[in-house]
Amino acid sequence: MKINNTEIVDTYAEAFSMWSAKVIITAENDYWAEGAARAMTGMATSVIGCKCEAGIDMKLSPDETPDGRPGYSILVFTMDKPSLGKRLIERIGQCVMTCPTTACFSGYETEDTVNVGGALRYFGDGHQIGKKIQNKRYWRIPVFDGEFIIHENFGVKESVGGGNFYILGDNVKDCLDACYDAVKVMKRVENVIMPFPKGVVRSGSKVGSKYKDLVASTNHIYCPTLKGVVKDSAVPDNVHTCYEIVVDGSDEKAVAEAMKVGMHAAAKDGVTQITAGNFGGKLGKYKFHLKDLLD
Amino acid sequence: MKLKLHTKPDVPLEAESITPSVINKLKIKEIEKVKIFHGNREENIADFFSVSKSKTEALEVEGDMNRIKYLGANMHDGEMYIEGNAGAHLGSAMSGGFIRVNGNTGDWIAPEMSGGRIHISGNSGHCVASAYRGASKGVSGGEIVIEGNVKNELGHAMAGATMVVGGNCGDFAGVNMISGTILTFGEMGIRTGAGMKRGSIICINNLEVLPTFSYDCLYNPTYLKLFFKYINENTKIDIDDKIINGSFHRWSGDAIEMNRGELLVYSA
Repeated sequence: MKINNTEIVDTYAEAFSMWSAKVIITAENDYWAEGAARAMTGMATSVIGCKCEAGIDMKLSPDETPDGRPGYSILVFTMDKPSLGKRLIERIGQCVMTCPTTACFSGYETEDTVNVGGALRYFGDGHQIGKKIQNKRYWRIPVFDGEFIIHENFGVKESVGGGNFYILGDNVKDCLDACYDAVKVMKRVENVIMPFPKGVVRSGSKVGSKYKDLVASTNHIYCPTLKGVVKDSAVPDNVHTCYEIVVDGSDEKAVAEAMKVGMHAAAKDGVTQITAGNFGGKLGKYKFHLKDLLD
Repeated sequence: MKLKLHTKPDVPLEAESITPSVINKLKIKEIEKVKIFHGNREENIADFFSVSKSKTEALEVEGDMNRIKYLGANMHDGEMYIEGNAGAHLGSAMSGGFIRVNGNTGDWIAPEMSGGRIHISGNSGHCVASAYRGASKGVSGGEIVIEGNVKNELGHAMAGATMVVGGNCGDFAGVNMISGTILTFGEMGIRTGAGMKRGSIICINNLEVLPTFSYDCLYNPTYLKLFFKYINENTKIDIDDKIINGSFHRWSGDAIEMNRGELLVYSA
C-alpha cells in the first residue's frame, strides 16, 4: 500500500478508552483567552506522567462562544471519570480562574457530568452567587477584576485516546517537515488533540519495561540507534529517523478522520514508511487499520 | 386541543382545569363537560368555550379572557398558547411546562410557581410572581418574561426564579427578595429591592437606590453577557450591543437584611 511514494504498512494503531471533557474558555480578547488555554493545557502530554492529556481543540470566534467573547475549546482526557473531575478542578482553578477576564464553560452536552464549578465556588468564601439560565447553573465567583463565571457541571464522555501513526524517513528534517504538515491539517479536525509538543512525539513508548515498576518504556523497535542491537527492530535499512503523532479524540470517528488527513499530509518525499503502534491488544480496545484510512 | 371563547363571563371565571395535563388527555365531548366556576356556580367548559382539535399537541386557548382566572394552574408539563388577554393567577403553582400569552395579563401572575416558563408579549398587572400575603416565601423557580410593563410588587419575596421585564416596572420590585434574578429594561418605581436578602436586580434604566444599599464598583459582569444572549435568542426584546458590552454599577444590599443582594445598574 502506498500514498505517493510512501509505503503504508498493513497494520493498525491500537487505541484505548479514555474519558474526556470539552472546556470552553473565553476572555475579553484573544490574548488572555489564549493565555489561559495554553496554561491549562501545559504539562499534559501523557497520562503516564501528567495525570491527564490536554490540548487546544479549536480557536473560537465570539459568535461561537456562550458569552459572545473570543475563546478556545480545550479537550482534557483521563483514564476514568472521577479523575477527570479532579483534573478539571485543578487546572481550571489554577490556570483559568487566575487569568484576567476569563470565563469557563462546558463544551459537551452530555448526561454524564462532573462537578467543577460547584467545587470551585468555595473559593468565593461565601460571596459566590449561583445563577440559573435555561436550566444550567452557573457560579459567579468574585475576583480582582469583577467575577469569574463557570458552569456548575461539565459534560464528560467516554472517548478514545492513543490513536497514532509513525512517520519513518531518511533524516530529521524530512520527517519533521512531514510531521509539521500532518499536524497542521489534523488541527483542523474538530474534537481531537495531539497532546505532545507541537503534536509530535520522539520518545514513543511501549507497554511495560524490563524494570518492574515502570508501566511504559521506550518503544525500542523504532529507535534507529538500536537497529543493530535489538533483534526485533522495526526500523528499515534506509530509515534513520522515526516520529510518532498521537491523537486523542472525543470518539472513534474524529480520531480516524484526524489520522487519515494526517497520513495523507505526511506521505511526501523523504518519508519512507508510515506505520502505527500496537501491542497485540494489551493497550486498548480500539483498532485503527491504516488500510481503512487510505481513501 | 383548541378552546375558543364564545361567551364572555359576567363575573370572573375560575378555570383551574384549563391546563394541558387535564384537557389534552380527554376527548372533545369530555372536555365540554369539564367543570369551571362562574362566580360561585359550577358550569361546563362548553358554556363558554367551543372545543376543537388543533394540529399540535399544545393546548391553544383563544379569546379575550381578562376575566378568566387560573389558566394553566398547577401545570407541570406541556405547552399552552393563549391568544388574547388572560386574567389573574395565570400559571398559579406551576412547576413545569410553558405558557405563552399573546396579549396582556391581570394581577397575581404565577403565584407559588416553582418551575416552567411563562412568556407574555404584552403588559402584566400587580404582584407578578409575588408571595401571597402572610407568606414568607414567594415563587421558588421558573422563568417569566414580560415584554411590556408590569405594575407594583414584582417578585415579592421570590426565591430562585428569573423575571425579565421589557418595559417599565412599578414600585417595590423585588421587595423582600430571597434569591433569583429580576431584569428590567424600562424605568423602575420606588423602593426597588427593599429588604432583599440575596438575589440580583438588574436595571438598564436609571434607578433610585435606597440608602440602605452600599456602592461597590463599576464593572462588566460576564454573567450578564450570557443572560442578555439568552434573552436576545429567546424573546423579542432587542438588546443593544452597547448594553451587552457595557459597564454596570454594582450596589450591595439591603443592609437591613443580609446585605447579600445586588443591584446592577447600567452605566450609560
